Parts: sequence; C-alpha cells; structure tokens
Amino acid sequence: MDNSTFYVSSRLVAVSNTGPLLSAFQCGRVDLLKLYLAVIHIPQSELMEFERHNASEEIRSLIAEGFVVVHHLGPEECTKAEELAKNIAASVEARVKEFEHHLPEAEAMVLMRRPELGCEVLLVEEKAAREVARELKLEITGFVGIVAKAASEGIITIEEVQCLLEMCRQKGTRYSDALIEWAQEYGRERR
Amino acid sequence: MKEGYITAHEPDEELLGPKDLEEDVATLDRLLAEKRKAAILSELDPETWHLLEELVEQGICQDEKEAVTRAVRAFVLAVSPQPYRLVRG
Repeated sequence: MDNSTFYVSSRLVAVSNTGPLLSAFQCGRVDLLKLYLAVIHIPQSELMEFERHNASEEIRSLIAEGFVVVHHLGPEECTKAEELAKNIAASVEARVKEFEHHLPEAEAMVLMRRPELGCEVLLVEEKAAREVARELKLEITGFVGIVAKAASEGIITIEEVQCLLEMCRQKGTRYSDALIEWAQEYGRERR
Repeated sequence: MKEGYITAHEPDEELLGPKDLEEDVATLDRLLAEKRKAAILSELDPETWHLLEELVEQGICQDEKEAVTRAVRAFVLAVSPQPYRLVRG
C-alpha cells in the first residue's frame, strides 16, 4: 500500500481555538498541523481575534485552500457558548474573569458538538478552557502536542522543537521552560 | 508570511504544562491509531473490495469484518513459524 495515500486519509478532523493556530503562524510551521489534521473548523468570532493578532493574511490563506473552515453559530449554539464562556471565566485557572473574553474558545467547544462536522479533537492551550473541555468529555490537544509528536516520529529534530517553541515564546506565547523541556524529552525518548 | 508581527493569544492566561502535554500526545496517538484502523477498509483497491463483497454475497462470511478477520487469521497460520502463539480460537 502507498504509505502517503494511507497517511492522508488517516488525519483528524479538528476544531481549533485561536491560540494553537497563532503559535503555528508565529513559528511558520502550519505544515505540522497538516501532518495530523485533515481540516480545522473555527467559529466566526475567531476571525476577529486573528485580525487583532495581525494574522488575518495567514488565516485567510488557510481558508482559501480549504484547510480552515469558518462557521456561524445559530442562536441556540450562541446561548450554549455563552454558558460555557461563563464556566471558563469562573474556573480557578482563569485569570480574565469577563466571560465575553472566553467566547471564542466556548464557541469552538460548541462546534465540536455538531455531529455533521465529525470533529474528533479540539486544539486549545489555555488551562481554564481545557478544564471546561474535559468536563464536556472532549478530546483535546494543542500545538505543542503536535510539535512533540512530530519530533517523536523524526519529522523534526529535538533542536527544532526548542527553536520553534522559543520563537512562539519570543512573540509572547507563555510556553514554560518545563513544557519546552518536556516536549524535547518526549521527542527524544520516543524516537 | 509576516510572522514577526503576529502577537500572542491570551498573554494573561496560563497555558498547558508538562502533564497536560503528556496527555495531549497520548490523545493524538490514540485518535490517529483509531483513524488509521477505520481508514483501512476505505483504502482497499476496488478489486479487493469486490472479493470481500463476493464472500459476503455467497454467504461464506456474514459481513466484511468476518471476511477480513478470517483472511488475516488464515494468512498468519500460513506464514508464521509459530502461528498458534498468535492465533487463538
């Protein structure tokens, strides 16, 4: 069997919060997302966030090629998202307590529950949002997880793991030293 | 790409730690493995699919799953030096 064909059809359908995509843009490695994900669904509200973070051009390019698909939420879904955003804001892990701030990640969680999309994994890296996603029994991962997996398969080197995550950190993404070290260690051990 | 200008998402919020990352990679491994298993049948060439359908239509196997199971077991029995350690029942 042709391994490349097999690999393509074995990728996951994801919903992403803004953060993991921004990290991929920050270090210029959207290709790593494409290794494991067939398509990424996002709620409309994230487009404004990408614009605010100067990533409009990048996200529009991914939308144009079909790798990212944008969805409007219906009234019932918006109500559910507001409820989830309040749960995120109420989490002990949340630093920002205004629920409106957490609406995009809450909307991403609502998209995960649309059966017609067949979503399998949610990309989210904020602790508070993860706590709520776990309560909903959603499968979660993030950009760093994808980087670590790519390293474990020899697709990128251990040095690249550090370099890529440091690039994100230099642009303000709060990946800790311990996280970066673990990602490298994981890649090293699993090779 | 103007990657130098892209600012961080949620700079005030705490992000995942090493333990979360361990779970993240385990989740990816598990989901991708499940997906690969599910993809196998859809990757079969048309001729093999036709053979599977013939086995079911002729009543030799109840469904495609049984046909694959019996075929793999028969193959292991044929080629493995110690097949009875691998094939049970």
